[in-house]
Amino acid sequence: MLDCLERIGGSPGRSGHRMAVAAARVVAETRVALGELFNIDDPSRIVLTKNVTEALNQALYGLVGQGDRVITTAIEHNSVMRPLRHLEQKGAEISVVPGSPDGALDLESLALALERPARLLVLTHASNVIGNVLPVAEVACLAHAQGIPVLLDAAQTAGAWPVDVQALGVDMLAFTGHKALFGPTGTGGLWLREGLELEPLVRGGTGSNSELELQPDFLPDQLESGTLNVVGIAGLGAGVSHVLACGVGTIRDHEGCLGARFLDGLRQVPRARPLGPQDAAARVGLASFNLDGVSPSDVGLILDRRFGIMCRIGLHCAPAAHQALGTYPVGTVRFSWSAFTTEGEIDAAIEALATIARG
Amino acid sequence: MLPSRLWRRSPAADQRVAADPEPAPATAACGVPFDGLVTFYSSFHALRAESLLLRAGHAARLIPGPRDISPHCGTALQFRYEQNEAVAALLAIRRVQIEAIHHFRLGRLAEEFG
Ligand SMILES: Cc1ncc(COP(=O)(O)O)c(C=O)c1O
Repeated sequence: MLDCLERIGGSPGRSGHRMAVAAARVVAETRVALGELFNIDDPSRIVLTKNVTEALNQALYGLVGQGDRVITTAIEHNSVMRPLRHLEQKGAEISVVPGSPDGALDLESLALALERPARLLVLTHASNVIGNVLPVAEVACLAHAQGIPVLLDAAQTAGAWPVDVQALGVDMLAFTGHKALFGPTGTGGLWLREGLELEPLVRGGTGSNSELELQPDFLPDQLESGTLNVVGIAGLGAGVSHVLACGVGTIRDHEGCLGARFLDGLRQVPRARPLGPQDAAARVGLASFNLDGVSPSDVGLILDRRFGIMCRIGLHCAPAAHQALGTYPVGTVRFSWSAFTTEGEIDAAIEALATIARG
Repeated sequence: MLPSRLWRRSPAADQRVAADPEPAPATAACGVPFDGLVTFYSSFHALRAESLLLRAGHAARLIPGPRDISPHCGTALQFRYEQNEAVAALLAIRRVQIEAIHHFRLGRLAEEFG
């Protein structure tokens, strides 16, 4: 990113001089690296956005109109639920498939919801509250049998769990850069399958077709108006290259080991009440729990001030998920770990929780 | 003029900046001028094409898209026109979207100094 700021500094696609070309090259390389990571044949169908929220908004508002029906799940992040509730006010119909108390998706209710026609099914790859991974390939298969395309929110999985658009069989993939792709904040993107057309959320300059006052109709330009966050995209490209060099499988194994260690440790902590499946192999690198008798906000405050351990407490932008888990409105304490987390850090976290619980 | 402390770079930064993005060589090989040009709608595809051609061993160079040929995209790709068919096939297989392939040489001035 420093290199990009100091040496490149051009505006991609806006000129043919060397700095503009260098900037366009940074963006193109990032797109190609993302294509490799997600097994996408045609990287020009990856649109770069400022986060997964923008990508999800582009997909939802770009596809769903008045009278359209959208199916989703009760464990979605607000980045899906809020646009959907707004679309509902504008005349769309939203069907929410309930989650079970252990955070899993109720596949029978899903099959029932799929019996009526719908414009789209949107779901998360993994719950950001308890970390369980949803059976997306199976769900996509059911949806496609009814001719319903699938939009996947891979915020929690991209980089940390295999995300292969062909194996999963999804039609659109939204991802954020600043989590397991190790990009900076303010980066993300949306991939859409060939044949899918979206109405642009934003229109404006693209550096292409400049003689026309109409928005270009080809990707990625059609959905990428305005100067891109080239510096951030350079960082995203470096992060994705790191993930590709390590291998998602290796990262996944590391996070799985840390998960097992954390869950084992948590079982020894008095008054700890873990949530969701207790099998570390079935979840991404996060876990939610509560300590009986201590509010999540107190746990978070003590962890930060006394132990220098940062976690997220509360509802995690997913109120319906907490309702299904029975942890609404107080929420939970959520820990997460990544490829860079060590076993020693997990042990220190468990030690700190035990100290608080013995309080 | 701005006070110099506002714009002076550190020596380390100076060194990094000295490694400016290199312009590509102006001719295809041994002074043979480029005589083919691919134009694109989107600069992403121009960049993709450049990287694919270079990796396949073709000489290629990105230039500002000549406006008299195409008003569409800021960036076009020069190559050796005798490789026209191979280049077209490569770009088609890798699904690079092009506007057109032209038999085209830059004007004398641009060829001499660009
Ligand atoms: C499942 C899920 N979807 C969406 C988001 C929103 O991500 P962003 O704020 O990067 O758009 C998050 C993360 O906060 C998430 O975990």
